Amino acid sequence: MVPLAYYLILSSALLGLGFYGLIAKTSAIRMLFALEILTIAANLNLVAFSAYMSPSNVSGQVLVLFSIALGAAEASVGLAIIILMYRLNKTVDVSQLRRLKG
Amino acid sequence: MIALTDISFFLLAIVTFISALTALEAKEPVYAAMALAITFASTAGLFMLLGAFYVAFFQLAIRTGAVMVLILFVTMLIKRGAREAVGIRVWAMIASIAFFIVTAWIIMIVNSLWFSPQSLSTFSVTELGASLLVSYGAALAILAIVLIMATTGTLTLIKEEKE
Repeated sequence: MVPLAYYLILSSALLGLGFYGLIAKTSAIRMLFALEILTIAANLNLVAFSAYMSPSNVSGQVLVLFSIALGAAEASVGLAIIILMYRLNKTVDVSQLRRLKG
Repeated sequence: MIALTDISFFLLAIVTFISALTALEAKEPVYAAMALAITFASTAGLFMLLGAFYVAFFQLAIRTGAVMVLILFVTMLIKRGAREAVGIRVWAMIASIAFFIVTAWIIMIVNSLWFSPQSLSTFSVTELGASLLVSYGAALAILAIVLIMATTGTLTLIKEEKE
C-alpha cells in the first residue's frame, strides 16, 4: 500500500500550485480555478488522513461530503460575482478593479 | 514488486498535478476548464483508491458534473483579455516551490510516526448516511440553509436592475 506521506506530498504540491495561481493570475476565472485546486488539496488531505489514521471512523468522509457541498455553493456565488463584474466593467481582470482605492 | 494500487496511485497523481497545472497555465480558458474537469475526475479516482467510494461518487456527480458545467458556461460567456502580471509571477512561483519543498521536508521528517493499516476499510452508503443523519443532523440542516442562502444570493446578484 502507498504510504500516507505520498498522498500528503501530492496534496501539498496541489496546495502550492493553488497558491501560485491565486497570487500570479489576474483573471478572476483563473483565480476561481486556483481556489478549486486548493479545495481539492484540502479534501484529499482529509480523506487520506481519515483512511490511514482512523480506518474505522466514518467522520472524515462525512466532513469531506460537507466540504464538497460547500465548495459547490462557493463556486456558484463566485461565478455570479464574476458575471456581475463582467457586466459592470466589461473585464474580469482583477488588477483593473481599483475603483475603491483611495 | 510493485502493486497495482501503487501504479494507479502514481498515474492518478501525475494526471492530477499536470491537469491542475494546465488549468492554470493553458492559453484558452475553455481548455483550462476542461483540464480542471480532468483534475476533479482524477481526484475522484484517488478517493476511490483510499476506499472512500461514496465521496468519490459525490465528487464526480457534484464537482465534475454540476460545478464544471457551470464554470464552463461562464467561461464561454466571458471574453478573455486579462493580462499577465509578469513581475509577481516569478516571485509567486518561487514562493510556492519553496512552500512545497518545506512541507514535503516536514512530511518526510514526521513520516515515521505514521503507519500504514493492513487494509483500508470501506463504508457502505447506509453507514455513511446513518452517520450523516444521526451524528451530524444539525450540521446537515445548517448546510441546507447555507445552500439556500447561496442560491438566493446568486439570484440576487445576477438579477438585472430595472431602471
